[in-house]
Amino acid sequence: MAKRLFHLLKTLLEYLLMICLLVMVTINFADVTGRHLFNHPIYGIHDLTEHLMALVVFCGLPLVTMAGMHLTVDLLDRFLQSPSMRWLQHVIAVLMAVILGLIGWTFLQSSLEAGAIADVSNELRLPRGPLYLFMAISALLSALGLLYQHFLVNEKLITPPDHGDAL
Amino acid sequence: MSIGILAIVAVLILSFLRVPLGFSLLTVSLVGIALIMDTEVALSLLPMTISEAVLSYELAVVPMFILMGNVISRTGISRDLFTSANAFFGHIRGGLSLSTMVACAGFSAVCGSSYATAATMSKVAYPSMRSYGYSEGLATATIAAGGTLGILIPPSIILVIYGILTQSNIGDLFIAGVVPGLLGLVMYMGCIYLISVLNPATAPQGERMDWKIRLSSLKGVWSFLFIFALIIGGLYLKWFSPTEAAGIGAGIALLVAALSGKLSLKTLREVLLETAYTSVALYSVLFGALLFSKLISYSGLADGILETVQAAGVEGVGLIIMILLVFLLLGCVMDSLAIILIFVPLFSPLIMAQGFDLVWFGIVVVVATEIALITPPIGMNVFVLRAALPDVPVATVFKGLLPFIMTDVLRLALLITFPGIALWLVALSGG
Repeated sequence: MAKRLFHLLKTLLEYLLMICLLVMVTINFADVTGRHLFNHPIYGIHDLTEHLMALVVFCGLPLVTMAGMHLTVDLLDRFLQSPSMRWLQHVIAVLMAVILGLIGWTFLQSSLEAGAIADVSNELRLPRGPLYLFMAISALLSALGLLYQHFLVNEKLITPPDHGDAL
Repeated sequence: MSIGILAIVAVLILSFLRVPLGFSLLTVSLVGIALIMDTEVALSLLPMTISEAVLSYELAVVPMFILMGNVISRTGISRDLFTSANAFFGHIRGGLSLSTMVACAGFSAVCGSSYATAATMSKVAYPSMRSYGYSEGLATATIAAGGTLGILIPPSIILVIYGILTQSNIGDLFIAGVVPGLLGLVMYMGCIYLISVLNPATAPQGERMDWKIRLSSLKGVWSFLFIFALIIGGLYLKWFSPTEAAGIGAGIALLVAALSGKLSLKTLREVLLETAYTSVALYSVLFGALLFSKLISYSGLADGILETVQAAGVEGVGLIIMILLVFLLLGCVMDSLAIILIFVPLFSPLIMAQGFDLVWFGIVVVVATEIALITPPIGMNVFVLRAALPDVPVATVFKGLLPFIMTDVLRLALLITFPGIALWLVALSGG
C-alpha cells in the first residue's frame, strides 16, 4: 500500500515538473520571438516563469532527495561508505530530514501569513499563499520520504535519471 | 567574527563527512544566525531566502540552459564536432589532438560539465587518436584538459551562480567569459602544436581534406553554431537578457532536435527529467549558499578579514594572488562549484573594497578552480577519464597534462596582468 502510494506520488510529481519545465521554456521562447518579431510580448512573463520555476524545484525536491542526487563532497567516500560507518549515514539522514522539516514548517507559517495579508505577485497578482503551501508540503514529503527510505525500506526507491547516449 | 570562522570550518567538516553541501550550509547558517541574533530570526530568514531564490526570474536561466545543453548533447553533437574539427585541422601536425580540443571546447560549452565532456570524448576521440599512433599521454591529456574549457564559454552555469552570489550582471559575466574561454582554446591548441613539433612521434600528421568535405562536415554542427552565435550575439547586442537567451536557446534546441527526428517522446521525457534533477540539486546548494552569505555578513567575518588584510598592508595583485592560491589549493580537494559557493561571499567584499571589478574576479576565480580539475592529487577530470579508460595509468595522464597546466597558469597570469582580456568586450557592449 505504502509502495503503491509512493509510486503514484512519484509519477504525479515527475509529470508535473516535466509539464512546468516545458511550459516555462515555451512561454519564454514565445515571449522573446513575440516581442522581437511581432512586437507582442507575453504579459506577466516574469510572474509566470517565477511560479513555474518554484513548482519545478519543489516538485523535484522529494525526488532528488530520495535519489541521493544532492551535491556532495565524495573525497572520503571509500572510508565513509564502509559498513562500520553506517551510523554516520543514519545521522546524515536525520539531519537532512530535520532541515527539510524546518523548511516545511516555516513555509507553512509563510503560507498562512501570505493568506492573511493577501500576498500576491507583482504583475498577474497570483496569490503566494497556495504556492508556499505547496512548497511546505513538498519539503515535508521530502523529509518523510527520506526517513521512510533510509530506515524502513533500506534501499534507494528512486534511481537518478539516465544520462542517455551523449555521443 | 569568530562565529564566521567556526562556521566555515563546520561547513568544511560536515561536507567532507558527506553531508550534502546544501544541507551543510543550511545547518551551519541556521545555527550561526541563531547564535548571533536569535532562533526566531534564523527561522524567518530560512523561507525568505529560499523564496527569494526560487522566485527569481534571473535564476530561471539555470534550468533552461541545462535543458538546452541536454537536448543538444543527445543529438550526437560530440561526434559531429569532432568530425568537423578534424576536417579542418586533421592535416596539421597534431591535427587529431587539435580537433579533439576544439570538439571538447564546443561540447563542454554546451553540456556545461567537464566530467561529462571527459567521459564522452574519451569514447569519441580517444580511439581515433590511438589508432593513428598518438601517444597515450597526449591523447588522454588533451581530453582531460579540453573538458575544462567550456566552463567559461557561455552559457556557463557556474558564472550564473557567481553572478547571483555577488549580485553581478549575469549578461556581463557571460560576455566577459568569451575571450578568456577562446584564449584558453587557442593556447591549448598552441601547446599541442608545440608538443607535436618538438616530439613528432607523439602526434603524427593526417591527410588534408578538400573544401567540399570540410563544408559538408559542417552539416552536423550548423545548428549548434547558430544557437551559440545567437546567444552570444543577442547578449552582446542587448537584444535579450540571459533568461530570455536561455528560453530562446532551449526552444531552438528542442525545435531543431524534433525537426531532425532526434527527439522522440522517450528522449524528451529523459532530457526533461535529467534537467529538472540537475536544476533542483543546484537550487538546493544555492539556498544554502545564500543563507550562508547572510551569516558571513552578520558575523562580521568579511569585515574582519578586510581589516586584517589592510593592517597587514596586503593589497592589489598580491591580494588577488593570495586569494587565488587559496582557491587553487582548495580546488585540489573540492568541487569548483562548492568552493565558489562557500568562499566567494567571503572574499567578494574584499575584492570590491580594493576597487577590483567583480566581473573580472569571477572569470579569474573560475579559471583558477578549473585548473584544479587537472592537477594532482585529486584532478577529477583525470579520474573520470580513468574510469572510462581503465588501461591508462593515472601517472601517464598527469604527466601528459603538465604542459597544459603550465599553459593554464600562463593564462591566469595574463588575465590578472591584463584584466582587459575579460573586460574589453563587456565595455564594448556597453555593460
